[in-house]
Amino acid sequence: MIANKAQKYFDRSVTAITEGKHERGRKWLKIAGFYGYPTGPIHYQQAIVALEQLNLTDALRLFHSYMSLTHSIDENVYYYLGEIYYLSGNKDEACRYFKKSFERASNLLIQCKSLVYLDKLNFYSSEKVNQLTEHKFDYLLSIESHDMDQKRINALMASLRGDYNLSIDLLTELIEEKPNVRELYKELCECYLRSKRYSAILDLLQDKTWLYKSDKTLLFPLAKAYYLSNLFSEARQALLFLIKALPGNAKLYFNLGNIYYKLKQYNRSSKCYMKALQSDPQLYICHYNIGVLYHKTGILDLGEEYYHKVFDTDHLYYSVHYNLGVLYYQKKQYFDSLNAFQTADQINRQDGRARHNFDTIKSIKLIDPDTKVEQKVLSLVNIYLIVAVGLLLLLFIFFS
Amino acid sequence: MLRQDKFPVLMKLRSENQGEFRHQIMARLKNIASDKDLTDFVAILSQFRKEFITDSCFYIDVLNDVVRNLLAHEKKSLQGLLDQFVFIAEIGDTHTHELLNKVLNVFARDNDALSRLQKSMLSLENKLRRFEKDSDDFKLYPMLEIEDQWME
Repeated sequence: MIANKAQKYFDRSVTAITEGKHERGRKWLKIAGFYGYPTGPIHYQQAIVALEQLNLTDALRLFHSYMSLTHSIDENVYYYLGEIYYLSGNKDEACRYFKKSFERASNLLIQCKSLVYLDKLNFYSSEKVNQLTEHKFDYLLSIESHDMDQKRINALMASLRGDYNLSIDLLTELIEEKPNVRELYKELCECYLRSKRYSAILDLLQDKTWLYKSDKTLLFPLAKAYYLSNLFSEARQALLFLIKALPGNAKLYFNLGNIYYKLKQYNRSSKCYMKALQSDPQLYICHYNIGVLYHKTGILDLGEEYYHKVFDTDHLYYSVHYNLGVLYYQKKQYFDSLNAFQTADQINRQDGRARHNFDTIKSIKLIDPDTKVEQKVLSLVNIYLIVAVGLLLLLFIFFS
Repeated sequence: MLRQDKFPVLMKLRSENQGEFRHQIMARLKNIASDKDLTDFVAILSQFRKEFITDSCFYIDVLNDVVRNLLAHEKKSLQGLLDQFVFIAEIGDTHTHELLNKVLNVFARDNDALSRLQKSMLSLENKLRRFEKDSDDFKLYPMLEIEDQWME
């Protein structure tokens, strides 16, 4: 009798949590525990709630507790552990767990979701992803599974293959059937992000505050969609909320720094990049961006200092040398400017801007236009002075 | 062979590291400017003549400084300096032109190098005039913006 009651409350809690009614779910879980339901699965459900509320430390503790209480390895949990590390900004650990869950999870849907994350994190090459997707797809066709899960798997596979329209159609259909399942919204958002349909994400999420109140991880695609749709104030709001929940995530600070830069709030932008560097000193892109900020605001020495801190990042090397070329030119250090532009040109010959600037400075240096501009200004000043003195003399003569 | 031995480090750098080579040449020329060492100046100019011609824009400021300093102090072997100046005038800029003017007005009245310097001055004037004509079209591309991609 007690076991039946416990099971009933547990099932209710699972339904409530799936529909985003976390408070109610938590209450049912407590009651199920009171009637003697095993602590392990209760911790599992509590961990999912903690994860969706972005209480990552609690989520990690509860998942580990679930694993130790059930005395068995549930490979599906690896997916959630991967998600925790992904949200906290630790890509390497996230990849390790997603790979484990992709290879070992018993739940096919979780396998597919892991593959989506691995693809997003560029863990596999695109050829390898195609190969894995095809292999998985053949396997899926040969088995029977729960209808909704089957549709979701098909949608995820279609998205991985680049057939976004099919994926979107399938997921939209599912959302119409079950509008309370938040996972579906997440999957649809991911599909929109992959197909670069940012306004569709805004249409989907903008007015559904209940969705990201119950599952705060949805704020990630929302913030990104706002940013890429040039709605910077809205993106800032979403990011500030995420930073409050995940203060150690360097990438969130970096993104916020970019938003402040777009809003022309350079001081705040610089502070955000500094904070990102505090959390992750290897984020060299922040050094470059701080360099650009100082350079742009005319603090050339500091700009130069930060540009020089960027190293080991190939894709930034061109930009750093190019901007150093401009900066040295502004400082009238022509030798260094020419050197920097020549290096930039050697790194990227296709761009042509570095080469153009190199040739232009070479010519400008030859005729030294600064001196000529100064001379022109001086001669104008002289003319004005002569006219003024003349007028004063005339006035003096007139009054005397 | 003897020539090569004079600048072994520079010779090695020339083929291995262009950037460092330029910095070393600059440092060497700055030393020559402050020490007013004409012998070293002649040696470096003749050794790396090709580089001074192809990369003149890098070195011309410091070459002008060396000539300016040597002109002020070198009284004995003015001929040697003027021979070098003929070469510098060929790769010179507006400051070289000013120096040439000074040399032709003050130092070189009774000098053999006068005619060669006058020729150099004329060709330099022509070159500068040509560049000045186009100077309104000289525009630099601006600095690059921040890296603004969204980080996952």
